[in-house]
Amino acid sequence: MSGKGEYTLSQAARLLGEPQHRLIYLCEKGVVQPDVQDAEGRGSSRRFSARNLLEFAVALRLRDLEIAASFVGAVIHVLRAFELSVRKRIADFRLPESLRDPQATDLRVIIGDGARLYFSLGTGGSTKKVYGGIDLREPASSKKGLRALERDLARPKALAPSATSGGFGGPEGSRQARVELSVTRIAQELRLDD
Amino acid sequence: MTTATNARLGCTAPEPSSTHSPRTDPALAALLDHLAEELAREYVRLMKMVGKNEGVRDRQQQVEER
Repeated sequence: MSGKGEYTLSQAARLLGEPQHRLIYLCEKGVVQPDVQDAEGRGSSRRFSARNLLEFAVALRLRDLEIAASFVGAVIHVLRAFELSVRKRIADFRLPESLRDPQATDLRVIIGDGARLYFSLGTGGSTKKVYGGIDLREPASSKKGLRALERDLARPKALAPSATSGGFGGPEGSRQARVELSVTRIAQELRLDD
Repeated sequence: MTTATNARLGCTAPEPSSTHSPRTDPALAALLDHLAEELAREYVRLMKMVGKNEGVRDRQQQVEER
């Protein structure tokens, strides 16, 4: 590690077990924005935080599953905003560190039918709640006003019939396909030191 | 970008032009921020619940030890 909680591109690539060009691609697409230093012309190199490493790890898993970079960018956007929002209430909350606790809440990303973005939260002893449902192909397709849509997105989803009757979908009610990824598990398995 | 270029870059999927991005769509960014805020509220609620359960377990353990 080059400094406390700072990583060069080669260090980040080594810790993630990925070639550097995959990380560069995600930076150039604006999916991951280097926290410490962005590349600015010749001679300047990117430097990343531990949070960036988690963002890379999540983004790379989603890219492995052939999720478009713009979609992955939306997932990373929510993770960043989530961290800021939690930190308003729990001052020492940090990604990825706070999710590495064995007691951490399981935060998952769910992509339904290739277009709808959901997140779920739950602990071992609680029922998972699912939030979201934004159609990233047509985010403004709803005829509802923004406030009504926001309220709807925030409302935990009731169990869909398909989830209980052996159908394909999970609790969010995907009809044809779903991708589910645990951000908490990725954070717990992330290598932060050589 | 062509599929061949994507493959060379290790990018497994071509970019569909129909997917919106929060970088270029402020309304989408606002929706995602709102979603994050709701997730954060639920996260804090769950963490408080876990904390309370741990407190109860600690108290039970103390009683048993006595």
